[in-house]
Amino acid sequence: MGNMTLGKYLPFDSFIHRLDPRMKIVSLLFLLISVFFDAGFIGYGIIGLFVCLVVVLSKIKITYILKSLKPMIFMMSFLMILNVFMIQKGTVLFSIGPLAIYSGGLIQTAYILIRLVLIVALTTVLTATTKPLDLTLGLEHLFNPLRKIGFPAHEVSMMISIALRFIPTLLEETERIMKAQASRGVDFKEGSLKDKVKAIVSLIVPLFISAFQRAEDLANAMESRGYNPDGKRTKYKVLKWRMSDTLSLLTTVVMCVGIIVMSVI
Amino acid sequence: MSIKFEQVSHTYSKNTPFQYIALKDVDLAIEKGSFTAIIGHTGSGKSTLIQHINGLILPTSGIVTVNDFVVDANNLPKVLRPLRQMAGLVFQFPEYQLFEDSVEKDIIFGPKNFGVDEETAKQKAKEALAMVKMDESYLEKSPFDLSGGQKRRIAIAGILVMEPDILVLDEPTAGLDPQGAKEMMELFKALNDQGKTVIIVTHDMNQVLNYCDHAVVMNKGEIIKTGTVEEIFKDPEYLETLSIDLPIMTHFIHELNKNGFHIDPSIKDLDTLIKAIGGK
Amino acid sequence: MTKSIEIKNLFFEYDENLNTIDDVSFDVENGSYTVILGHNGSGKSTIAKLIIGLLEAKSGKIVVDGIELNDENVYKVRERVGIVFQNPDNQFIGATVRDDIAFGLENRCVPQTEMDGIINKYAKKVDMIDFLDHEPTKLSGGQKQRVAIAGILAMSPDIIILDEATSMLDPKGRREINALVKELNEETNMTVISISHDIEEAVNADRVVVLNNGKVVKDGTPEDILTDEALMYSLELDVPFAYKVSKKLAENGIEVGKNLKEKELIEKLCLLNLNK
Repeated sequence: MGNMTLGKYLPFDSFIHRLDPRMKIVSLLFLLISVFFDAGFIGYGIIGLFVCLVVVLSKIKITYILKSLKPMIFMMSFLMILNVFMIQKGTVLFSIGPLAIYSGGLIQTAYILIRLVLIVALTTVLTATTKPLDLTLGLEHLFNPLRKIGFPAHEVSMMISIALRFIPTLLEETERIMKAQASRGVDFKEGSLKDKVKAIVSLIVPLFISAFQRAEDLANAMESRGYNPDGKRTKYKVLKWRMSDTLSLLTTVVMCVGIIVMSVI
Repeated sequence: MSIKFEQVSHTYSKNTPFQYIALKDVDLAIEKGSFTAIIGHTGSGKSTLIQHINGLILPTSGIVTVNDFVVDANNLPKVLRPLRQMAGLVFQFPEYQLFEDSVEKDIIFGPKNFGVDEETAKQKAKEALAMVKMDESYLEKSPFDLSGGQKRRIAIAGILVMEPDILVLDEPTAGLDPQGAKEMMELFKALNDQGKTVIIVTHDMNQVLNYCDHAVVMNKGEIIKTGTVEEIFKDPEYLETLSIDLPIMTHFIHELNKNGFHIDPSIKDLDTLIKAIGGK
Repeated sequence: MTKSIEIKNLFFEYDENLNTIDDVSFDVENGSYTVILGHNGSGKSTIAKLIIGLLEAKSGKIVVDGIELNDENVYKVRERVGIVFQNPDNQFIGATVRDDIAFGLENRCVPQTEMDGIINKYAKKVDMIDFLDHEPTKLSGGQKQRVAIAGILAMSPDIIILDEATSMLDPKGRREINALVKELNEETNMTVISISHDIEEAVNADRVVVLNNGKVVKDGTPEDILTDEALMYSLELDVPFAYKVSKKLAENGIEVGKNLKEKELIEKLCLLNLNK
């Protein structure tokens, strides 16, 4: 678990960290859209440079971003091999028996890989520079207009923040139950399929029971402190939209729109 | 000698920014058949220490010897399985490990993992249930219909059924009411009288004074004092500097002595105390 | 004295025909410190949940600060009563100490600009001001309970109920919470109801109500209740240590009277001029 970088927040103080989460979410959306347009190597080059600039500004090490790509390596190689041989466009560059590599195939594959790398890199930058709770808050604000058509923006946001709050607690609990069962001879790593199923059951059942107990306690605590999901509430954490947010968003949007227009023409 | 720690250190998340030294050069010997308390603050390394005894945690350096079993940094999990059975470890709030739909199934879960056949395991389950002072009528019940204290007994029976020589308990009375806690401690005392080595982590110094014969004081990952319970409580001032609680009796004597009395602080029972105050 | 809480002929059952609360009536005076004593399963925790409307009584009446509890004014009652529950982990709602104290303020629609001032004030009060940005996993049980108390104080209730709030803490954490609550009671005249089986806490209360099998068995001063050995042992509870020693001393010809507190007993012994 400790080696996972995808989605982890890195507590630095940087220009990117200080940007409003709403700005970051909307920017990410625009960037993702432009990545999905056939922007050509120039377009991808511009986005690539932009990502590098953001990473430098955010004080995150570039190796950290590369590490977040690691879990994707298997999927990427699989896609690469499949694409290189399957796409039969352009001229044949190379062939062994029935297998042939086409120039079009090579270019398409390169596009797919670049897209994947950019998507992962962009999302990693967002999660690494924004506290999970601020992300939730940003999403709640962005979804707020949808309340009119019955979307429970506040409830969803409350659910996500409580889930985030209890993840470390439940991880601790998981470790404790695993150790307790290991003391009763359970081997979580080896053994037959049947043994493994039993091992998992001995972990999941206690975990669920305790999670339900926690949920009940939590509901009581929230209610006793006057929580009423339908009632009016003020907010302690407020998002502050600054001039720098407007300017950054404008820059990103202009760039994205440029790339999109370029690819459409 | 039942358990021996030689220069044992343990570091969590070694070589990462989260590196944390939980145990530092610990030397410790626990006699066979003793009843030892491990005391110290939260975060002093007590939990890490006891998890070395059944190999859930391996030393980063140093050697732990349990009976004839040697545990060091290079042990493979498979090799450690017999140790798990020899040294039974009961975690804090053990009722949270129950998962089967009947008490019997839950108790025989451990022995079956160690390859004991079902019939023998069921026979042993009855004996284990008797050891925790519950009758056989509970065997068919669901553990989730029982009270908190009963669940805890079942969980402890689930460890006792493996017939460990050594019983290690992490705060076994936490959250129980006074009577429940007393019955639990008497149970461990009885098991100790039957020859089992018992090791208990506790914050309740009254339990240490009333039930244990030895105590180990830990602070910041190191063992700073070991000895018989009398030796440990003989020096209340030292314990106060560590902000470790005194048993209610010892505290009382210590306060009297501050007011000019001269009473032996290691007195355990009320009658001796009264005599000492009366000074006949 | 005015009444903070009035409970009349209260009945409650989880299962049919098994009264968890069986005709309970008692009043709590404004500014008093009441300990409700009983062993696990005596029904004492159910009472707390009934008072703030988390559970609904089968019959009977609960009046809090003159407001009779019913469906319409349950939120009004909850504004007046703060409750600290047993498990420190499961009542910590915010991501940090700061956010957790803010949670109740948000529910009460306190203007955002006033929140930081209130949070700082009560974090200081419970001695957690240096931990405002800490996450709950980095705090001890006692610290989490102090945060829970700060969160309640921030909403300025008249009554605070501790529902076995110290039973999962180590002795140090327990002492700190007990001292903090006692201080609140004395300084701010806050009404305290503590549901507990901690005899040493009961010694310092104004009044003790003993519950067994869902019934009030005895109601009186700590002296009345805690020295009633037959009652205490029948409830599987112990008598205070100082009382035990005093009694044994009397049997051995040293008369020191009935003492519940260690300090009083020591003072009396010092006056006796025994051989030191």
